[in-house]
Amino acid sequence: MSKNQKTYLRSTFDPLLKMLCLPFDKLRVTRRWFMKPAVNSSVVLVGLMMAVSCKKVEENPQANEENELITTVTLHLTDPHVLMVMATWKDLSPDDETGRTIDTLFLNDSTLYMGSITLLDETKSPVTDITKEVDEESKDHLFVYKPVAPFTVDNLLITRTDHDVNHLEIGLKYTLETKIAGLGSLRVILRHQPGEKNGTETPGDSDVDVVFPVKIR
Amino acid sequence: MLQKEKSGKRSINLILLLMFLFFRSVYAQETNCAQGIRGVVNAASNHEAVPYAQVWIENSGFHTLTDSLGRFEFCNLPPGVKKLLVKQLGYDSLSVVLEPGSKKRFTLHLKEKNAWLDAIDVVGKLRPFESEVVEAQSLQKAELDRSRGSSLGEMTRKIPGVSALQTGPTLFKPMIQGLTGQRIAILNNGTKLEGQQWGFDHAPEIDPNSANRITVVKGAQAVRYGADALGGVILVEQGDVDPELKRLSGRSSSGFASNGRGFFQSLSIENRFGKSRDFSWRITGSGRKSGDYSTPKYVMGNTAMQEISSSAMLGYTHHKWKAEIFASYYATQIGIFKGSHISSPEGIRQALNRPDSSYNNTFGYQIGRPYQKINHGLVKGKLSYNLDENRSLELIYSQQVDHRQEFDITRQSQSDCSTCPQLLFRLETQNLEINYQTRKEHYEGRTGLVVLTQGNVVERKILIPNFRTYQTGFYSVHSWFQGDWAYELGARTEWRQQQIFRYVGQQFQNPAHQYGIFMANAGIRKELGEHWHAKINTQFSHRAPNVNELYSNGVHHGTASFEKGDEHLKPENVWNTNFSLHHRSKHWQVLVNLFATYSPNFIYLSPVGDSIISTIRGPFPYYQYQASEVLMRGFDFSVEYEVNSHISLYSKGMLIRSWNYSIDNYLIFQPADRIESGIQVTKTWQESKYQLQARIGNTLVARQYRAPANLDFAEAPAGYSLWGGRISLRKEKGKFQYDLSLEGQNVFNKTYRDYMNRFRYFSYDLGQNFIVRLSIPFGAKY
Repeated sequence: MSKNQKTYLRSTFDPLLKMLCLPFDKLRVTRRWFMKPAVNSSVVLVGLMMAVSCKKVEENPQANEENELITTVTLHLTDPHVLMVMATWKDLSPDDETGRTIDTLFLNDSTLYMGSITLLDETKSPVTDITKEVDEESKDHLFVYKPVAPFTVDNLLITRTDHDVNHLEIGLKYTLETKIAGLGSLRVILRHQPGEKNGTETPGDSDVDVVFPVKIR
Repeated sequence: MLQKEKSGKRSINLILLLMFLFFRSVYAQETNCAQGIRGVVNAASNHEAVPYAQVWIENSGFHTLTDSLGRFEFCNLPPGVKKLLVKQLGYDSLSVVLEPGSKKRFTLHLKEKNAWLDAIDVVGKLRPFESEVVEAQSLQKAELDRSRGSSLGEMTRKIPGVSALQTGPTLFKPMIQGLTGQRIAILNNGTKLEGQQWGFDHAPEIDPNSANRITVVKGAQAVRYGADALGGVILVEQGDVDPELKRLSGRSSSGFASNGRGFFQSLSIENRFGKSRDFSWRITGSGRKSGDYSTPKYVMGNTAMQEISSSAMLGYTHHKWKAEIFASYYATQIGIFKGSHISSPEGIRQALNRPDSSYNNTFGYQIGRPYQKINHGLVKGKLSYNLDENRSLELIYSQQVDHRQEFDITRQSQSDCSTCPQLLFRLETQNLEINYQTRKEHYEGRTGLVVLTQGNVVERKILIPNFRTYQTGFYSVHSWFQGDWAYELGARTEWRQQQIFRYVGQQFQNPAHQYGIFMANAGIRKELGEHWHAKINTQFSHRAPNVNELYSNGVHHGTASFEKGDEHLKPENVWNTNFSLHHRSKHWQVLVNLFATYSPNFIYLSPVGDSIISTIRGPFPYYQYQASEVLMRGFDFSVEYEVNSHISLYSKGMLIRSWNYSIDNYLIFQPADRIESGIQVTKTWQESKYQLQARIGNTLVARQYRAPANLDFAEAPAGYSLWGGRISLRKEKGKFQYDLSLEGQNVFNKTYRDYMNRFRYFSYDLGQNFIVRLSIPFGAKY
């Protein structure tokens, strides 16, 4: 907006605003006025106008606080030779297509990996570790790992190994067994199932639903 | 600082000047009515004033309308025997012979045409300023007593042509002829409700239970009420306190509904005081609480709700002055069905096939997450002054605050605030209005200036940005009456500036939008003989895009879609034409209403190709607000046939065809064809002191075949047929009056899903429901 426009707008609206948001102490009401009912009611009317303050709080917007935002999902895998493999799915701006990086998971065939998963909110400072929250409420959460076509369980077999207080699986810890080499994908879903967890994927809602490209050599 | 003070002083001076002028004119004008008669027109049944009845003197040019309190006056009558005639829709006409030298003051009682016809009264005129040419229908008296305890959207659905866009069992957005949300204005006792009307799950923030009349105006009313009335208007009114009221009076309504085990109570009391009883006041309060609702197969977990509302009014009439202060407060907390907490399209498709047995909720009154909490407050001051017999000035100031919080399911161990809402909006509106009104024998005119400022604050998830709006509107509407004809012409212009305050990443932005918009209307009403009349009304309206249409950005929970605004949208142009034909004779009452709405740039949430946006929570369909070319046509009707004085048959229905030319497909979320028919038996005794009425009705709703197939998560559900009934006992005369009724809805407990209910993906619609209601008026008039 140009400076001219601004001046124009201010000159147009300021008097109006002053009228709507009259400061009470500046209105001098003499007793004589109260004699006339008409004036009386006008005073009541003006008083009402000032009942609510005119602070323009909207001019200072707050930062977006996405509900339980998760920006980063990382798979950590360890093979029998204690070699670590990692892959990260990251989206730092959830409201558009930018800020997104997706790693490919490189694995060896016919190997049994020990796996874990971590979740972070990297928009906060310091970075929030969501894994801890999920762990604390593990009775309401379930991770689901699925090979995506063309992969099948013949390429990737994932088994959850940890359990919550109700002896239902969680999926923060798991084993991943690779078989035949190939190119495909792995889908990772976190189901939030407050009060409804029954060991299946169905109840609740997805907090995470991402796909990692996978290459098995 | 100095400058600020100066301009402050200047505006004080301006107000003082205005006051002075008002004050002066009290004494400048005096009524002088020689050779005149005056009177009040009341309804015979309950002595309530009959406003806007036609009163004229036969074979003379003397013709007038009763005012809002049923009063009329003729001055300078020539001497001689005259015949005074009174006519109003819904009442038998009345004639009185005026002998020379007879009394000069009259109280006339109009008899209602048919006791049962007031079910839905077809009003020829409506308040606060009426039009002869638009189609308006009201719920009042008995029908209102037998609808209390429901939301506004449920109540207005009884009027043909009105449907509701529903989210679960408790959230209803009224829809008039296929238009809803920001295209429908709702007036709370004359003040336009400024709420958060973005989002399908945002129901109007108003409690209809303290109203004495609810009127739906079909067709565009943008000239009178501004751009957001281009689809129609709903007036929720308490009305004026009876000028003849002698002692404390009021009404108590209570009820219980079996489904949800909900109960409600509302109370309204009013009186007049002062030396000449020129002060009037009214206080209303109502409360409603319901537990979890049930479908025929299972309890819908977490659908409990509670609501309280109250209002207070103080009025003062002195000579030509009338002042009024009105305040109302509304608060509600509404649980959102647990099974609907699904944000992914895949999850929604799965939910549709979820077996009934997996819904294992038990009934309860507690409201858990997710839920909505809404508070709405309104304060209004109104001052009017009659310049002379025909002209009056009115000054209205109102202030509204709308506070909406949405609480989602969260992880309780979450590090940040666990009691905070996930979405918070706070909208503050101030509105100043000056109206000048002329009412003569053959002419009525109204001209006004409306100034509005509105600020919005959003916290937590920034679904839409903060903004500040300034708006100035100027309008003028004129009507002429000539014999059987009435004409109306009107125009309005609005200037609007909206400034946005937001962060994009780390960068602060405050772009401003300016819109100049224009609206015009024309209408004709013609009496066609004794039993028929027709109205045609056409309107061109402009509507500036709202902030959600410009700036929405993100996944909207409950709609499972990624919604994006377009900040380059231009105001939409809408043409709307309504034609209605009325018939009223001894046995028949017929209303047929045809309408068409066309817009070349209807702002609409359209899918962007087949694009899917992938987020960390999964893939979502991508929707953007776009201007689409849209045509909506349809008709609604109501027919009532009185077989004899006891038995009558009724039928009402609607049909709408909407097409989106931009995507060459049907318009999504339009109501399916619907017809409601039934039989009613009425028995009155002791000179109609008691009235017993029973009705059985069937509602038939077709499948919505005209829905865009690929743009929805699921196909439109099958059509359905529901049976309902009502038996009521009303005592309208004597000391202790009451209206007691028992209503049954979906009595055969049929499982069904309705296309217009957005929770149809997640659950069936409501099962059997029986409601007992008791309404007791008390006090003076009786």
